[in-house]
Amino acid sequence: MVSDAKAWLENENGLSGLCLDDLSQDGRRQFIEVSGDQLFAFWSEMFELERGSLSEPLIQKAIPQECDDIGTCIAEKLLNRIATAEKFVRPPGKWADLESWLRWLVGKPAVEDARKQQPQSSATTKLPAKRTEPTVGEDLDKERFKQSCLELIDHWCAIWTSINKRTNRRELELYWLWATCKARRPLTFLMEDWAAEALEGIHDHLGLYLEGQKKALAKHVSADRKASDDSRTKASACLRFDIEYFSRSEVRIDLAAIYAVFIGPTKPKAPYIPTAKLGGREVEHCLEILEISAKRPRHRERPLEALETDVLRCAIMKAVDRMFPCASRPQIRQRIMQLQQIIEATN
Amino acid sequence: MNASHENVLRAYVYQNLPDEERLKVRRWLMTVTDPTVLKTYEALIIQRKQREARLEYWMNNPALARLHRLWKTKFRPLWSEMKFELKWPVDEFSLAGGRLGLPTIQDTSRMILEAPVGQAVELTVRLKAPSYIAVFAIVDGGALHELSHSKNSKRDAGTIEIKKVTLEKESDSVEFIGLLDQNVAIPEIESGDGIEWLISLLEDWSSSGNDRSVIRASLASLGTDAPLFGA
Repeated sequence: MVSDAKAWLENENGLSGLCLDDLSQDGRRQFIEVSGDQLFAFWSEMFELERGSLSEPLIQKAIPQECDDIGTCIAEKLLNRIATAEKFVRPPGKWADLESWLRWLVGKPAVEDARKQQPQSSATTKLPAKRTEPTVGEDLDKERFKQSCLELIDHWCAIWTSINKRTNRRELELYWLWATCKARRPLTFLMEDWAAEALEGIHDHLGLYLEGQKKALAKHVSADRKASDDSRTKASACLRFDIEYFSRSEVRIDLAAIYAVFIGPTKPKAPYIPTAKLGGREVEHCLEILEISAKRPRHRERPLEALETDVLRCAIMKAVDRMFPCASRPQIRQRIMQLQQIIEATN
Repeated sequence: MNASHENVLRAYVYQNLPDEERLKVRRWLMTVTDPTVLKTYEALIIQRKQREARLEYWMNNPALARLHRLWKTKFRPLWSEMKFELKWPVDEFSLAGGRLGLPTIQDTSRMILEAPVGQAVELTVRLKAPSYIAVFAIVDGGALHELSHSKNSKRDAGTIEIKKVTLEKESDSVEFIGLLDQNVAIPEIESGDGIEWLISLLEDWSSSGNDRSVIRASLASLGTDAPLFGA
């Protein structure tokens, strides 16, 4: 239990110093004595700053009395509750998860606890493919098709799990989601019912406790560098996706060298250029990968294959030249134009 | 996009879902092409990064966190006796006013002052009544510098020029602490004293009445839009 809580709370930002190891009352008191000032500073600042994005009814329930500095009031109350609560099974969320801590403060069950309170049927929402036993041929086809869609999705998930792990740049997946919006759109319609059902159970567990969130979140996306507009990083994400994809299938070229470069450490800022250097041979291998994507079959009668081809072809964009050394960029741009012509001809 | 989708994404981004449900959200995301949902997902990722950057800041600056807590819980209600102000040429100000980008953290209770990098800005203090004052600066969470000290004579009410400050790079930060006492001179810093000296002084300071104040302001560089996904 203790080690679980530790692993769960350890932050990706290397904040292992802020670790609530011992969940006993004495352990928690000691933790607050050592780290209370830092947690107070963080929570008092953040709860004040983000008040507009938090549920007002929850805040009022947490701090019913008059308070001219809501951040300080909530932070003090949280530290006091952590130190004095008789029962403390596990922390309600990561330290930065203000919403979960606020929920905990007013006595709402944590997500995990709420889950246990749900009826069994809702807590274990099964995927349609496993649940429904088709009786007629048409249904069977439908179910098989849906199952194929899920396999495709799982394949993509596995690709991204690998890229995330090796590059340590989880945001690349978001850029890829933006870049492939149009190509993935058929999947949205194909999986609409499945998605609604899959999310239904989770909605029940979480409840509606964050009204008024949208307005505050909007300011976060009004940034200069929106992922939706950043074509270089999209190219960087799509190229990596293609390399990881083809490394899992049989292709005639040896991908080891470009795999090691692209699915590995990156520079710290977008567009996340690989840290390792590329030689002329590797540049050629990358272009070959793009060519395979461009020439991949796209039969209308096989919609999933066509969809996957469209997704792979998203890497064929001008901005991909930024991933390569300056000297090779003119050559890359020229090849990209040729590949785009191939795509136009086959569409 | 509805509020419950946002809740699901939030729980996913903050890793607050059991494995089985986390997998469901991950699969669902692969089917999402609605820009509103993707924008919300993006905003939540950015929000988490920004929050964790602040948490990391406080974790790396325990003495500042102590000072912050002391000030918030003991002195903050008295802050109106004295006020920090920052001035720089009008042109720069209007340029700054028109800037676009991520909203900069603004906290009226704590005061975050912003200055353009490389531009000398003038820090002033406004006093309501004649008082003994001292102004300190903590640079990058480290050393304590005395910027102004009235020693044994009170300063008159009004605006007092303290110092010209220039931020050299975007990551520079300065915390200003101003102390005011209407009756007794403020102890002076001695060589070797650091932020701990200030903390212990404030711990011993009584906060009753309106004859003592402590003010704080953080100086940050204008235009330090943190990268959406920092290093």
